[in-house]
Amino acid sequence: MYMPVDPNSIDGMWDKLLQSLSSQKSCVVVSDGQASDKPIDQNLSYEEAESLLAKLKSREYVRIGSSRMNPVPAHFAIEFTDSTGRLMELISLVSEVDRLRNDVSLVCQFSFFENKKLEKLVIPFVIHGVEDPELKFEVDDSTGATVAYRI
Amino acid sequence: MGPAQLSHPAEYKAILNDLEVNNVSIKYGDDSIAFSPNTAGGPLGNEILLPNEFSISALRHEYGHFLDHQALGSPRYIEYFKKPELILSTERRQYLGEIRTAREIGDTSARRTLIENYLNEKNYIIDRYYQRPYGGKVDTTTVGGN
Repeated sequence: MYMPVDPNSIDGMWDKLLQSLSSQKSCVVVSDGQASDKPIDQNLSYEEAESLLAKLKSREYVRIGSSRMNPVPAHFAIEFTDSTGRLMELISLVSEVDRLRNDVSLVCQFSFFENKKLEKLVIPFVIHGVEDPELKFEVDDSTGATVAYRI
Repeated sequence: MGPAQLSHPAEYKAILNDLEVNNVSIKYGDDSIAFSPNTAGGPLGNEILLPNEFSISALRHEYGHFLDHQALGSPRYIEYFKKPELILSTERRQYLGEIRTAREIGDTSARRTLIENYLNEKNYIIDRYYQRPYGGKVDTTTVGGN
């Protein structure tokens, strides 16, 4: 079953991720805290995968989607300032709105659950229709962001 | 074992039919194999990822996760981590089934890998999510029979 894991706690997970990113299609939705202009489903080159891996490794909080101890998107990373987080990296399986909605829901559920001091999470793109009984979502079309608050 | 549709065509067809009837989306391609429940919970929006070629044992494993999820009432995804008994029990049930199959067909290598993966996942979940004091009472009302 799909499960986001801490790659720093599982031997070999970073190496498996590098292999997975360079051999299987995925979609970089958020990079360096900014939404991709045109997310596309693609195989990354080995160099691009290495670069993405380096970014993920540098992040404060990173979770690699996995199943049977092998990477499966979505993967995501967040940086924190006090009780506010910002989604810095998001790699989805494919660029479909329904999947993106599910991935944002996953990111929010998981990061608020694992980070008890987190009160606010900024998603750097507009996504409508994400709902959660423990969170409140505000979509700001003018800034192009979606913000989740712990209720 | 070979591809599921060749080794066990009737069971393969029955499983795929049941997934379709239950509106579980199946996505083929790459090497990924996983059951991904809808994070919001509910009977819709669940998905199984399958590689282009997979064994009946692997299909039973992921289908088994769907059946367990359904039996639990299709909870929100995060409930599996709030109550880690839920994810532990479904992983144990599905891994043990697959390990048994590997033993029956004499696939020692696959059996070893499955045991290692199961123990790694189990250790990770217990280490990270179990907050119930040792010896505390287990809430079995939502765990289901296992």
